[in-house]
Amino acid sequence: MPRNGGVLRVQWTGDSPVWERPEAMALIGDSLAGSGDARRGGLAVASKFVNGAYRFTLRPNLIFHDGSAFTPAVVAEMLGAIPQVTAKVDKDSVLVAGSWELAAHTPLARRSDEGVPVGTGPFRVTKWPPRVKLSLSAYEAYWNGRPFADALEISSTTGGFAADIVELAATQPSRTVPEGFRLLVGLPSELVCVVLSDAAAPILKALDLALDRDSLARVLLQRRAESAGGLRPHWLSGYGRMLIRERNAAIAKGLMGSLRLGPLILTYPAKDAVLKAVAERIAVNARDAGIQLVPAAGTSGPLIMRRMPLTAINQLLPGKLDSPREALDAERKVLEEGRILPLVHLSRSFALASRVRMWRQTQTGEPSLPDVWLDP
Amino acid sequence: MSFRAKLLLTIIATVALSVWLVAWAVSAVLTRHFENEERQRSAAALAGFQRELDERRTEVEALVERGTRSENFGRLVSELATGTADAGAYLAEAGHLANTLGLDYVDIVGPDRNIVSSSHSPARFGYSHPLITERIGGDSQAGLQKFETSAGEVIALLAIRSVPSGENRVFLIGGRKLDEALLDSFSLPPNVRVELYSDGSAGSLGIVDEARRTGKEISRPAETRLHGLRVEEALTALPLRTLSGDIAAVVLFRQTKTDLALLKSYIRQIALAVGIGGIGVGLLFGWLVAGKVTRPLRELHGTVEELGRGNWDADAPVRSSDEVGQLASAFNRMKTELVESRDRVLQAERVAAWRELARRLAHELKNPLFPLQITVENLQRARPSANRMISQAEFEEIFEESTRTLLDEVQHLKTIVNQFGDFAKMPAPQLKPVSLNEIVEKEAGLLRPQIERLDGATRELRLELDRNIPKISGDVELLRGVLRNLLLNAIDAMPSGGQVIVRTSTHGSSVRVEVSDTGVGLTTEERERLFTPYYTTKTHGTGLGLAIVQSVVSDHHASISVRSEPGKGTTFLIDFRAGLA
Repeated sequence: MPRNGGVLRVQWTGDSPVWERPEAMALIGDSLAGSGDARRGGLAVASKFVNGAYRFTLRPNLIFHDGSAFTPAVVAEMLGAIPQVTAKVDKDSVLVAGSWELAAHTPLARRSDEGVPVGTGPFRVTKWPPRVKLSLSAYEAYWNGRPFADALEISSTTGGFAADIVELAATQPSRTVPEGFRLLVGLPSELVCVVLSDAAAPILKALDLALDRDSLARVLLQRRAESAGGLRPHWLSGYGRMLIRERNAAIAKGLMGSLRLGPLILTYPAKDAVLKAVAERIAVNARDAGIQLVPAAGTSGPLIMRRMPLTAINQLLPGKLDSPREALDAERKVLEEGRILPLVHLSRSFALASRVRMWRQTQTGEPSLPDVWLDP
Repeated sequence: MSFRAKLLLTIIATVALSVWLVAWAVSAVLTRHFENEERQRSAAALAGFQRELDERRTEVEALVERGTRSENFGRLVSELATGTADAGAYLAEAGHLANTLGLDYVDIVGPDRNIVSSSHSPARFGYSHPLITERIGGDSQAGLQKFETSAGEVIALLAIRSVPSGENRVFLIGGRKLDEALLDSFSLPPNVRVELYSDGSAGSLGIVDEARRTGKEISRPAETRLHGLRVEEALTALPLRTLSGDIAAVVLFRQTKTDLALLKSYIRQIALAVGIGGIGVGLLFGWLVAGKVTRPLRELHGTVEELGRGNWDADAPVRSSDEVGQLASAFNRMKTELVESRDRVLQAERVAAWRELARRLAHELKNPLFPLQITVENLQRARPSANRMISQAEFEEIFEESTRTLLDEVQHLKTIVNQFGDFAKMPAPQLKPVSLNEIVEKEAGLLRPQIERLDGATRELRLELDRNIPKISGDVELLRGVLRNLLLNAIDAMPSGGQVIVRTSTHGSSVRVEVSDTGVGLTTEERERLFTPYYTTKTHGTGLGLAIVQSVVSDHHASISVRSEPGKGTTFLIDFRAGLA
């Protein structure tokens, strides 16, 4: 049976400090729409599209971690700080214009006078500023029920397995999971793609045909990825696999024959080992088609390796897509602009200690931390 | 350059040359000795390099062999054999093996000859391995090989081992990069540097290109600079071949002769120090010795200078009995003889002068005496006597004429005596600043009527005066006398008329006065004797005029000279010192 108590220790991969990541903020503050992944409701109990703006009716009687009232005025102020979003109070509601989807999914947390993030989420900050790890404690008055763990400590992956939940690097073989841990692989969600500049745009088709996405997903990314032809993963869109093109290096070479291009730099984030490995593999594939790509660490260049979470993908697409047909057309339109070359959709995978139990998982199959309890 | 300086230079040059010769000889002997030794070391270095290379290859072979016996590799081989292998699971296996074995490169190649895992090019999984595809020989081989990595083409000491995997074989390839770092780990003689040329470039080193082109070992001397020192090098380029026989790289051995260069440098420094010291000591002793040697000569020179200044009592000191002493003695003897000879000449000249004076006096006095005698005899004859009757008036007339003649001749005699007296007691000049132009103009103004007087001849006096000449120190009266004398001489020299030009000018540090005429001119003998007292070319005159002129000029510390040719006139030039005394 689920039980309260214990300190849940978690390790995440990634280059940026864990406390700067959106997942960490989502533990401190809820969003208006709520986390569909956690199958939780949001801070808004109702929403309605009215005259080009969304009206969000706020959940009543909520209070922040520091005891202050959760009011439409405070919410409007927090939403107004989001780029491309305007918000104003309308009785017990907030009217949001502009990038309403971003506004709806951004975890809302304000900063105290000391700069500590204060929200209404399941966990509250224990120690700020964090140094090596983010220390949180269960928010007893959480509107959706107190989290099972008394405290939560999140740090970056060190390569070892000194935590209850350890995120695995995408290139890390499954057999490295030690005894006493079990493997949990989520659904492919994050898009790994190449963003092309004007100078590199002419090679998009040839590069697309030269890529061996299957080897990328199966071998290099240890089956924790799916070949991607479109922006959204197949499990979400239902048409993703339709957009994948068959590899054909000969045709790719033929396409490149008419282009007289010198070596092109393919940049990847300096600390992102996964994107580095993918970039090197792409360069090897590209060479078969006569495309000279030079992988290099950096943030700019004619070709840039990018990770794109679902929220970012949704921002690329038009606001309201009522049917899969509309969504497919919208994706095709974005892809035909010739600036994004999808490679794979990446899953997050975790090694779970034997004492970790989960009441619920997120929509993508990842552990929902407020719903994790620990066996004694 | 003085004799002493020459002597000094000779001593210094001798010292420097001696030091240089010694340094050169020592350097040459040492160079030969060192070169023999370097040749032996060079051969030892090459042999040592080959030995080290072989040892490293054996080491790589052993490590790869160990890798094939590792647990993970064994599991991989068996999974590949059964076809159950998950390629992704072994993607990092080559990297793990490389770390475990301490190798730079590890590749695992599956039975299909495609790369299963590569430590240096992890992205190349699934691609065929060129070394296995183009099989070089047996399954197990080791040697140098060029191959592509994600970082570019490299050369490595590779070992290939294969193990059975079902009906096929799985290959493990391991290697160490052949680079400067590896070569540095070789145990080679300390003065031998090894450079690796693997990318086809050799800069300006033709020896590397030649070795790469011919495939043969090439040796050549060269030079380099080390800490500002020019150091000779022995270069040896050794081509390295791959397993397939291609030339993978060229190793260049630079055997610097630093010891020899340092030794030569020390020798040069010591030679320089000894040379400078020697030159210093040579300078000191040379100065003293040269001074001692040249002292009698300088004293002799001083004696000559004294004699030149008229001190005939000066003698050259005789300080030794050597050649210089003998020279001084001979010089003194010669001077004594010269003094005696001069005295004799002076004596003779004095007698001759007295004779000339007597002759001139006699001549001068004889001329007025004869009219005096005739006049007195006429007077005696004119006196009335028994034999001769003469009227009183007639006698008075004769008496009157005779007494006038007598007075004239007595006056003439007086003039002669005064002139001789003047010459005997020429007054000392009263020097003060005077303008030569003014003197010339004044005297020329006085004499112009006399010069240009129409007495049947046409004469002209022209003044060409430089208005910029400085004043001189002089006695106006005496200088006017000089000028007057010269102008009167000019008149006498132009009985048929002509032109007299008086010119003033500046010549360097002197002021010149020239008096030129277009008269009869002088012969060489006349020119030589012109200033001799009592010498004259005229039918009248005492011959003292130009002697007085020369005396006055000499008292003014000036000089007088004459230019003349018979029929072409005469020019007297007097050069005064410019400025005031």
